[in-house]
Amino acid sequence: MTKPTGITVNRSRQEVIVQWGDGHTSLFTFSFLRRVCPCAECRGGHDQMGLLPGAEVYALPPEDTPAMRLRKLEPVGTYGVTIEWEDGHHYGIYQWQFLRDICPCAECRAQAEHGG
Amino acid sequence: MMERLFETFRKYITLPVIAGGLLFALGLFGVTLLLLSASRGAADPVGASTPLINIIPASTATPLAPMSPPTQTPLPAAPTLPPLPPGTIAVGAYVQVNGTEGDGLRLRTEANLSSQVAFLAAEGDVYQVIDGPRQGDGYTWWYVIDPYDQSPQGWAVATYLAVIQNP
Ligand SMILES: [Zn+2]
Ligand SMILES: [Zn+2]
Repeated sequence: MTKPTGITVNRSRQEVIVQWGDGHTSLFTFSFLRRVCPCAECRGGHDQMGLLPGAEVYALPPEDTPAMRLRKLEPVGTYGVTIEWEDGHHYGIYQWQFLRDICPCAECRAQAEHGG
Repeated sequence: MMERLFETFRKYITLPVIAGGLLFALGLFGVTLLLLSASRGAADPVGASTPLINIIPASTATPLAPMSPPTQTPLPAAPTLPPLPPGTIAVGAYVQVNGTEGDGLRLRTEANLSSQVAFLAAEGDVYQVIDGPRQGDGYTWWYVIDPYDQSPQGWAVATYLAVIQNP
């Protein structure tokens, strides 16, 4: 599994940019990351945790609300990051594999659609 | 017929054979454990796999509003921009990523399709042209840079850039 070599949180653009070890770059908006929060509370139960978001989530426009504003992003061990949001929510752990799987770029979306 | 086979079998299953089998199994188990721990150590060196986390603060132009009123109306998804004026791209011009149908535009390290993707520019993003044009793989390329951050930058195909007057 490829791991990030760098993560950039750009508050002015409300984006998180992940540079991967294999050269790929993923660009996530704050809103998108909040909407796909992998925690049990947001997924509606522990059995749903970490499930990949549906295609409709990618089409949603960015929003600027406290819930969608990133307050803090911190590493969790060596396997992921956790994000604290301005509404206080901070339960989601975004593991590397999950982040890579949800990459919104056209290339990765096409691959996901074709079962790759 | 079956009894004879059983008898022969019994003749061979003696104590030394059983002990030998057990020892062999134990040895295999030990080797497996050793291999497992070795491969884990190699794949996950402590501390080496934590990526660099870089936080870019909000610029003064777009402050984060931690104390925003609760009745704040959400910002429009993407500002509806007026029709893009016709213009020719030149060094110094501001351009907007346009026509990628939401897929975004790859900014590359060199003016060709086989070079590395340095950044994925989102549809509607504004960049400043600082170099070009160059020809590569049948496309015209311009070197663009984010006027706010300076960090996202690279060679972009001219087809997906539209000149704008006031960024
Ligand atoms: Zn959550
Ligand atoms: Zn991707």
